[in-house]
Amino acid sequence: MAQLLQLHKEDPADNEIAREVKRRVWWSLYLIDQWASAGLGLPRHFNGGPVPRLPMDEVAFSQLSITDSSRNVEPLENWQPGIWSHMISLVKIFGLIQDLNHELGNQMHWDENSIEPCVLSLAEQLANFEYELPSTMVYTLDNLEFHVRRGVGSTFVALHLGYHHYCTLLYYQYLDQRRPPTPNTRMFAQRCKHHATEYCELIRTSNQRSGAEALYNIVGHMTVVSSSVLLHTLLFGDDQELPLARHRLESNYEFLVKLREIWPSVDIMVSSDLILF
Amino acid sequence: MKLGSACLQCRSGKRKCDRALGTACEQCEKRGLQCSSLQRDGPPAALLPTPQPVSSIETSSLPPAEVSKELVDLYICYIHNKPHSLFHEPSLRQSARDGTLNHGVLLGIAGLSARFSANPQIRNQGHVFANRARIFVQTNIENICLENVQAFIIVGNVCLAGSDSDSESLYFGKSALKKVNN
Repeated sequence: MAQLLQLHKEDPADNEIAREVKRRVWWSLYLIDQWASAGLGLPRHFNGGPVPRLPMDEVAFSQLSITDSSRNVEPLENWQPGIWSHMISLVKIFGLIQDLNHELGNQMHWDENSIEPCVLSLAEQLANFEYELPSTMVYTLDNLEFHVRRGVGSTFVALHLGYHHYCTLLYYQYLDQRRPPTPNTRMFAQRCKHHATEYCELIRTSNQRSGAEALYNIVGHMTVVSSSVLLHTLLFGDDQELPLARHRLESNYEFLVKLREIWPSVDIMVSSDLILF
Repeated sequence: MKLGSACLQCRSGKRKCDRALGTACEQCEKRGLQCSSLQRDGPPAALLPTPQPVSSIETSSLPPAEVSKELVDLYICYIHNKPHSLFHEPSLRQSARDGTLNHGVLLGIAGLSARFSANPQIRNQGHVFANRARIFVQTNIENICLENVQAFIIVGNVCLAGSDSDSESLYFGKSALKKVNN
């Protein structure tokens, strides 16, 4: 339908609002496609082909006037990428992480010498993503306040929750202590714990700040993944890691109880994912 | 395009259908779905644009104006620009206010955001809105326009988040995506 509608093409008859809405609908489908194929293990529909321009700054977009469309001719040099532009760059890397994890899931014997370069290359892409973020998009408490004031606090949080979740997934397999030790194994396992912890801290901070809450459905799944890493630390970690891991796990659990009131499906995520783990 | 003899629900679920006009098919009966055989007495709509929705929803099954306003506000606060980004916020608010918002979009938003309402009566209505949105989207599956794609995405989100996480609702989310893309 999106292709029949040619959502990726600019229609000269559209005003700037309609064009941006079409771009955003197209990119939303792209993101859902990446997530749905991860969840259900089905092939993706968005492979190659022309793509629309990335979404513009969310605040500038919501300030475009409905009634006076002549004011909406945005000169391109004023164009700023929105939080969603960064979300899309990130989801592209997420797609590659899933491909790797999916492939590993299908292999009976893992060849560490071929896996490690893949993980390192994806790690580098994630590091580049973070490095190239404009200074206002980097996660700091000041930036969080800045985005809350602009009315896009929870979108900013969504970007960073996604970042830590995808990082956790990239290194997740290295928590398995039966993996043969390689020079990087320990570092990867540490990174997995680091991002699961950062995720937990961010969820806690965001839900204490009005205008930054993350209460959409996928957050339930991501929090369960973060909790499973914390639980691993609690079971197998060093003595000095235990108190903080326990504290964070409790904080995630409290949040999941709250989320379950809103989304009944969180119950199923908690029971199936944590029992599997 | 070959016009299938299966009902819309079986077509979207890729099931063998014993569709007969005027009665629900066996598959839908078994699954408790609203079978499209009951709703139509003509052949399914053709693939290419019919600008108006195939069936418009009766105004009485839409949330009342103040409730719509609250639910759109909650949607903008908790969902908009997070798992998806589908609207220009001022346009969405205005079309909800003046009653021009696509009914599938409005019911989908209501089905998704009623859970955030402080009012238990509105919260309890959530699944009713969600079901109406689902039926709207299923009946309009071949009616291609931007608003219906938006409604699809929202209803897909409602289904994936539903308490009935059986394969049916998961499949619906995915089949909606497939339809949207094909």
